[in-house]
This record gives sequence, structure tokens and C-alpha cells, in this order.
Amino acid sequence: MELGEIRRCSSVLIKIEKYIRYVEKLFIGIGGVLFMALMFLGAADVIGRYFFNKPIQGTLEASELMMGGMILLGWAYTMQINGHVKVDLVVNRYNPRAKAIANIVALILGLGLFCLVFWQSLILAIRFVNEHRVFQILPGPAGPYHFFVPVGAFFLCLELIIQIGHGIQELREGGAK
Amino acid sequence: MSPIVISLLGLGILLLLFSQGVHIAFAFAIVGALGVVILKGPTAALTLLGTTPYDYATNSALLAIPLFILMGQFVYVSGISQELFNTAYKLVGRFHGGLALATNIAGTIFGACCGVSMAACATFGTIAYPEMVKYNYDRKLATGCIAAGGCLSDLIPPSNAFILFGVLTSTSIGALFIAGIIPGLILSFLNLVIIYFICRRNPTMGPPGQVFPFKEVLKSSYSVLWVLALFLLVIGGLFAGIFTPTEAGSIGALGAFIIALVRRKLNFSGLKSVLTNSITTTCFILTIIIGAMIFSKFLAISGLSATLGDWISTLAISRHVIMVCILIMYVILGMFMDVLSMILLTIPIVFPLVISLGFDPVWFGVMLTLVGEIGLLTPPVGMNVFVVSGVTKVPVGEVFSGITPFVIMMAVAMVIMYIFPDLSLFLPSIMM
Repeated sequence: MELGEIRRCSSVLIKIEKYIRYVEKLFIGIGGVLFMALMFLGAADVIGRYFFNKPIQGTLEASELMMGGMILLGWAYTMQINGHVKVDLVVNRYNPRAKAIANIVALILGLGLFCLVFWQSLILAIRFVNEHRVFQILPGPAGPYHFFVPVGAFFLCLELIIQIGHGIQELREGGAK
Repeated sequence: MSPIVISLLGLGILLLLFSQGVHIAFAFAIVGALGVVILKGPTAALTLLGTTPYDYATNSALLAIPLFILMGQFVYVSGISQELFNTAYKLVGRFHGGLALATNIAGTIFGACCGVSMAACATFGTIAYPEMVKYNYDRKLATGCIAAGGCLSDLIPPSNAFILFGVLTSTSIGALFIAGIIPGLILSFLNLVIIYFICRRNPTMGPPGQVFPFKEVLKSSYSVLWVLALFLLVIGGLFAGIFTPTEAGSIGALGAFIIALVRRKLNFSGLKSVLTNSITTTCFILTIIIGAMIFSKFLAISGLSATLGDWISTLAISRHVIMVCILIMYVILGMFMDVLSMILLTIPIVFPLVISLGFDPVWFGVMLTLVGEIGLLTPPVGMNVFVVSGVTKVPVGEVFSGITPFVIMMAVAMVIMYIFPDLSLFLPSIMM
């Protein structure tokens, strides 16, 4: 591959990475709105029930959905900011090269896992939509909300691929800092 | 290969993956899924991977976790912690080690509205450490008391460790919250005693400060009222049976949000940062829970906990010896893992055993959290020590050596709680 071609490819990849991370941030924005709604809805339900004897119907189901959306759509961004916890104690004692390899292996394991999660949850979500599943109290179909998992897993997979790419680049430059 | 051998191998592989830097949540899920593949076949494992994330991300029992995290974040941005520290200093600053005493008191009160000990450590590392440096406090004592004071957040309600323990063991979260109050206060008192004792023996480590008139102490206690009101609202509501822990979380988060607004400490960018931090913290905790649930399914299929329980019941030793062994195992495990991961890893195996031995689940929840706190302060993976070291720029080794007297106090608190279980069980027993 010629130098010009490599540069073009890398600039396309950088753009793709930018777009993916933009979507991840957008999901966090949606999660923020859901979080505030979760807080207000829960408090309004308690106040309504305790002071006016009028609880808000379907609060629990709606709260569960909000939490689900917030967490599952937040998977990729949490990965982006290194928010998923790991024990670095042993790995930090490795030399930079071994450390970079351990990091790439950990990311590949995560990628394999979430590819399976994506595949299985997608099948399940499609099935629930086709079965026309409904909520117990809330109106409307329940099936579409199951797409939170495959969508979250898909973007987490993309984020893991980005990080594996960075890890390989780091390895070529001599290892992790 | 028998299911028990497979499950023990699974535990070994899990610890190996942890040590090699694989994310805790991912390691739990990978080993759990592989174990189910071996014991039940690939279809069962794939179904588990497809269903578990949605089931637990939308589990109503876990709703309290994000809400209490949000409450703690709002309290943090409202700037109450700085004022709490100032008030506590005006109250006890005149004594030997006054600033360290104030840090511990402020940590205790802050714990009443923040359920994450690392957040408390970061907060008081930023606020109290510069003050202690200004007054020539010993660096080991200063950082040690910040790390130890931060630990109180996990014991004094609301506490995420209690929520998780309650969900996993079907123990009342409200009862666990209430049960943590007296042990938290005892530990706080023991910390105060040891700080005073150290500084009295060697006044250069923590010289006494200025004496403030009582009027000024009262005047500055305005911020304490905010925290007190929030605490009474949340815990009082739970205690009186007005609302569930999840509802208490909603009310607490809304109360903290209003406090931050009234104090004019919350603008749009602050709100964005509060929400982002809360979502990412919730996300990593819930992802670990999802992974751990896949792993615990594998353990349940293998029958490890039942076999272990049967084996231990055949041993002719006192139940107290077994409990002490369990607690020592937790101290060792806590040195390498954080409290939440430790609870998730061990509860499916240990809890049935503890119940079969006749121990109270609420009391065990308190003991487990207390022992987890020791893990947060002991090498090699004392998370609170790393946070304090990061904030104060004091070398980790120095913080670890400063923490020793406080770890001893925690051990004393554990012995007291063990001998007098009613200290933690009394308040839940009178709960409505």
C-alpha cells in the first residue's frame, strides 16, 4: 500500500472513530434525561401517594425501563472513559510490551463476549417484537425496549474495536506507557 | 470431571483473569458462560447471555443504586462538604489533632448522604489535606484519617454495599441501612479516640488549633442542617415505613438536587457532569452485577455452595470458628478486590452457609461491609488509599503506613460487633 493510500485510510478511520464516539456521547445525553426523569417520576409517585392518595400508575415499569436505557446505552461511553473496573496490580508490574499485550487480550475477550451478547439479545428482541409483548400496566408494546441490549452491545463492540486498534498501535510503538 | 471440580477450576480461572487485567464484569460473564457451556451445553449459555443484561439492567430491586449515587453527586456539587468540615473544625479544632478530628466528624456526617467511600475520600482529600499541611500535621496521620473517614460512607446509610447485599440475599435493604447506623457511629468514635490519643502523645503530629466561641460554631452549623434534613427525610422515611429504599433514593436525590439549586451551586454544565458521573458509576456497578449473575448461575448449576455447606456441617467445629475463618477470608480477599466485586463473587457460596450456621443475615451484612472497609485500606489494592494518594500526591506507601492505627480500630469495631450483635440489630428490631 502506498503512503498516500495509508494516509487516506487512516483519516477515514479517524473520522469513523469520531462519529462512533459522538453517538456514544449522545447516548449519555439521552441517559442523563432518563436519569432526571427517573428521579422526578419516583419522587412524584411518593408525593402523590402519600399526600393525595393518588400514586402514578406504571411508575415501577417506567422506572425499570429508564434505568435499563441509561445503563445499556451507557456501556460504550463508560468503556471509552475507562470506567469499567479492572485489577491492574499484576499487569502494572509487566514491561510496557507485555502490558500492552495483556491489555489487547483483555479487550479481545470483552469483544468476543459482547459479540455473543449482541447476537443473542438481537434474536430475543426481534422475537419479543414479533410476539407483540405488552407491559402489565404501561400502554404500548414492550418488545422494542429490548433493543436497548443489542444497541448498547453493538456500540460497546465498536468501542472495543477502537481500543484494540489503539492498543495495537501502542504495541508497535514499543508498548503501553 | 465432576461439576464441583469444574466450578473450582472456574473460580481459579476467574481469579487468573482478574489478575491479568481483564475487566471484572467481563471476566465474571466469560467464566460463567463457559462454565454453563460445559455443564448445560451451549444453548443454555447463549440464552443466559441474551437474557441476563436486560433482566438485571431493568431490575426494580437495583433501582436504589443509581438514585443514591445521584444523591451523593448532588450533595458533592452543592459544596456542603467544605462547610461541614469548617463547622467540625470550629467545634473540635481546639483539641490535639483538631483538624484530623474535624475530618473524621465531617466524613461521618457526609456519609449520611453519600454511599460511595471513594467519593468521600476524594472530597476530604481535596478539602482537609491542604488545611492539615498548613498547620504542619504529620502527613501519615493526615492522609490516614482522610482514608479512614471516607470508609464511614459505606457503613452509614445510604450505602451501595448494603443495597447490593440486600438484593443478592433477599434481606431487607431498609433494615440493613438502619443496622449500619450504630456500627458506623462506633467506628467513627473509635477513630476520634485514636486520633486524639496519637496527637496527645506526640503533639507535633497534630497540634491543637484556634478556640472558637460557641456562638460562631452555632452560626456555621447551617450546612449541617441541610445534611441532617436530607438524612432524616431519607432514613426517617425508611424507618417509619413511609417509603421503600428505591423511593427513598428518588426523594433523597430530589432533595439533594433542590439543595444544590437553592445554594446556587448547580449550573447546566455542573448538571451535565453530575449526570455523566452518576451514569458511568451506575453503569460499571450494574455491568459487574450482570456479569456476576451469569457467574453465580454457573455456581448454582454446579452445586458448589450446597456441597460446601454439607461438608462444613460434617465438621465437628464451633460455628464461631467457621465465622471467624469466613471473616478472615474476606479480609484477605478484600486486599485484592473492591467491596462490591467481593460481595458478588462470594455471596452465592458463603451466604447459604452463614444462614445454615444460624447467624442473622442483617448482622452478617454489616460485618461483611465492615470487613470490606478494611480491604479498602490495606495493601496491595487499598482503593481508598490510592484515591487519597492521588488527590494529596502523598506516596502510596506513606498513606498505607498512616492507615495502620485506623485499621486496628476497624478490627476493634469488628470484635465489638461480633460480641454484641444487638448493637447492629437493635434499631432494625424496632423499625416500623
